[in-house]
Amino acid sequence: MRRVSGPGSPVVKPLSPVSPDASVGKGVHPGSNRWLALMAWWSFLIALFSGVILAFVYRPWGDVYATVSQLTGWRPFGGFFRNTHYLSGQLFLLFTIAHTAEHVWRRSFQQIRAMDWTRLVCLFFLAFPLIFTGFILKGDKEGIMAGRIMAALVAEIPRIGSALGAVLIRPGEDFFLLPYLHHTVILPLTVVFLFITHQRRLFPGKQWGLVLAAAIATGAVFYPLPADIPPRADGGIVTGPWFFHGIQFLLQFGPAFWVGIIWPLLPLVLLILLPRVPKRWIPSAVWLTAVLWLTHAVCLVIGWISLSTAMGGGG
Amino acid sequence: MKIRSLLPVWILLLVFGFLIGRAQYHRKSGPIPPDGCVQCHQADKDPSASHPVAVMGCAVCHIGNPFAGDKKRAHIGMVRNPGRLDLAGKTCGQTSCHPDLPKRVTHSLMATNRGILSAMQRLWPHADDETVMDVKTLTNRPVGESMALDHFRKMCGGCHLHRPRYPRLGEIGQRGGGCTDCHIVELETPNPDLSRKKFHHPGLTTRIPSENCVKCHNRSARIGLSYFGRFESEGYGTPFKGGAPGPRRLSGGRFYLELPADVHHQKGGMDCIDCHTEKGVMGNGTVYDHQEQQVDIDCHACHDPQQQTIDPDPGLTKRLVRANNRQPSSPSTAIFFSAQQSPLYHIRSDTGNRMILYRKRDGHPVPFDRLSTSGIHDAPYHRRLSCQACHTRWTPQCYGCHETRFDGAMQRDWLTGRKSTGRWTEGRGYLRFRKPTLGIWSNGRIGPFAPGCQVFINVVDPQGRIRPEATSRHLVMAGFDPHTTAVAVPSCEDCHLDPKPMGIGQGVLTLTDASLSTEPVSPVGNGIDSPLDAFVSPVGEPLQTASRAKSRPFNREELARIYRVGPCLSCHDRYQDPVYRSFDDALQRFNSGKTPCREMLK
Repeated sequence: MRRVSGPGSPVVKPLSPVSPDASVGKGVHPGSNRWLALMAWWSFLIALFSGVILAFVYRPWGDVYATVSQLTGWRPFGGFFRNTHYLSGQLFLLFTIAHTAEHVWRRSFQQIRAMDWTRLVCLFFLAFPLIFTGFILKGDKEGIMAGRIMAALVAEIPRIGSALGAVLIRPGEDFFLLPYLHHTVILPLTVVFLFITHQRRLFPGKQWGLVLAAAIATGAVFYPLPADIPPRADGGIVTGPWFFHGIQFLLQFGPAFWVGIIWPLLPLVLLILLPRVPKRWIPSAVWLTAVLWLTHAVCLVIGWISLSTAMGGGG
Repeated sequence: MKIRSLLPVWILLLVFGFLIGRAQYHRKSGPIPPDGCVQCHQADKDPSASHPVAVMGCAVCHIGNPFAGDKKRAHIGMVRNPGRLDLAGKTCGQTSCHPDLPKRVTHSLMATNRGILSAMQRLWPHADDETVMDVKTLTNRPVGESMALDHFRKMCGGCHLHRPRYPRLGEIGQRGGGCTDCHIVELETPNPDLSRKKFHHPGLTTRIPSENCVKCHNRSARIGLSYFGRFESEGYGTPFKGGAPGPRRLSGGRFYLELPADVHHQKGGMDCIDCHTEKGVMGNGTVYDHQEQQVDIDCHACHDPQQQTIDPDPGLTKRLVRANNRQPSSPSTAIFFSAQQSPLYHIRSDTGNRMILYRKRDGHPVPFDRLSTSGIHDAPYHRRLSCQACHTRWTPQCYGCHETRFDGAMQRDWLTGRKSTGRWTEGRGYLRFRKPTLGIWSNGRIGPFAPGCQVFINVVDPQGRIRPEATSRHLVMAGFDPHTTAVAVPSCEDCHLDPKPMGIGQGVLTLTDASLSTEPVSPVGNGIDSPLDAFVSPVGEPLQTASRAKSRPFNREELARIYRVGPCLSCHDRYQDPVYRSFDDALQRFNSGKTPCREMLK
């Protein structure tokens, strides 16, 4: 058993495995890189399960907002499963970020194969469009605006913009259909494929999965889901998903292609390239990547403050 | 160890137990309602037959989150008055409801006030760089220097469709609100107690009660009063009752006298909507400068209707008939249409020359005749006369509008709802309901004119002194339909021997061989050298501005053509008289002494 504890990370007594076959969870303790990966994966599985339940009622056509409102407020357990889906999705993103960040922090990308690292970064990258498409599928004013912004950003990509837009999101009656397809089929399947080729197990550390499920279920009962804004509501300031606040803020000042496409992709590309950087340049590359991510984080905080202020003042 | 490891399972079981218990407690049975608003709010009746809450729910109009379950979330984005014009595109005008109407209405004159704004900016003290042609733009602009716009903001700007509906008493609280300004049944500002399970929801209708029109159209031209036989009188309150001012009162402390109503109301009990079509009122999407361009009916639309075999929009006819829900039968297509192709679905041909109008309010049949062609209406010498020139029974005339601005005082700006510097007071010279002045309308026809408006502006500085440099006057006569139609018409002498209809003003007419002169009844003086009711001098010089570029008083030649008939009328007093077949020839024969008239006159 390898004990890993980063600076400031709490030293927690490892949880004993509950059964002999739960070997992956054995000796894994909170805060460790493996634990973060396990939590990310189980968050994804819980989101997948709750998403399947929601899919029985959700319809990506017609008055989507009314469907979501009905699903949340009227259908038995609809609110609970939507909350579960929301919380597990957010945890999937957060744990994936933490898992990747710890790899960079410990420079463990040097110890694994470049292909494995690429797979991990791709998983990390996919968490964002998964959450973003889910955000669109709310069908409320924010979701619709997010979809429109996504369509506008994609259209800014030279040469392939319109073609890419045709497979990502289309205006009109099918507005929610393609994001739905991506959110429910293409992106989850890709995540599962990447994970299995990365980990080769579908249900590692079931005990931790159970703990997480219990925590999320409890949270889903008491945590108030962010309010949906009716698409026809007048005025007010709409915001994208929390990780988009920085880009939303920067879009006021810069060209959409550079701010909305290149700027968020840049640190991702750097992440993928890290294992391929010559050894002597690795400290600089790590430093550069960290600076870029930190800049993103700072923009995010500024964007969040700016939007909160605007909403408090005029919203 | 085992218990610890089973803890998550216990938690999960607890959560599911809690959820099942909660679901049992809040068990909802029956079919899914259109929205969850009815869990807390239940109206005593549907807004209208075509807006059933059981089918449509509340959120379809009032927005909000229909199934949110808690008050705060449910009310996010909710609107109390869905008819607000700034929101109408998302509420009344949403794709599946009335999608074409918000654009039409926002471009219509009742929303833009373009007619009032353009007239005021043309006739009042105003700098061109401040020119604005719609009330919405003006609302979003800071207050400028224009006296015309300052007056509009504080006096006229209370009547337009963009105005929010305020919970205030009286007529002010009944105006505004966008679509609901007209389509609501109850005039009082709705303020129901929504916390009660059974609250009263205001009714909606396309059978617009005339009161909804009159609440605004009772000033200036006062057609909303005149049509129903009310004349806004001087402010004395006469005739007194019980030693106190009489009970016939209008808003703003005004009084009225009862005069004969328009024959359409007097005999037929017709309302405004029985004549005025949806396109004429809500517009057709075009931004018009003046009401005569937007209004798409005239007397001919019903009394000389042009039958059309092809309905340009059969769907519209069906929808209108269905929405009206008072017509005796539902024609698949209308056969009579207004000038802008509004289906006059409530008018049908009867036997012979007879027609029937089914009142939109109650479907009651009102029989009427087509325009007669017995040598009167098609007389060539009267071909320029509008119907109103003869069939107007009386005309409300408000002479001398005294506007005083007190620079040192504050007054509410109707557009912003806030007070700003400068307070206007309005007084008038005198009011009359005599026969109208006639003149040339902008469409080239001869019709009634009345003061509209004769403004005397004084500005008082904060020290209470009149600012002479800001003092001005603008005498304007406006052509309009007084809405006091009568079957009976004046006699020939009433026009050809009376200086008032000629536009010269009330007085004693003196006709000599060479010219015409009058001794006015109305006073002259106080800085004006002609009576206020004189639109034109006896020699055809305009004395007042006309409210439209193409409208004007009679010119010298036209006046001569009118009054030269006068002396003949004592004998030749019938339309069918042979002298009127060619009056010029008859006059020539008279002047050459070939007629017996000269002998008789001797």
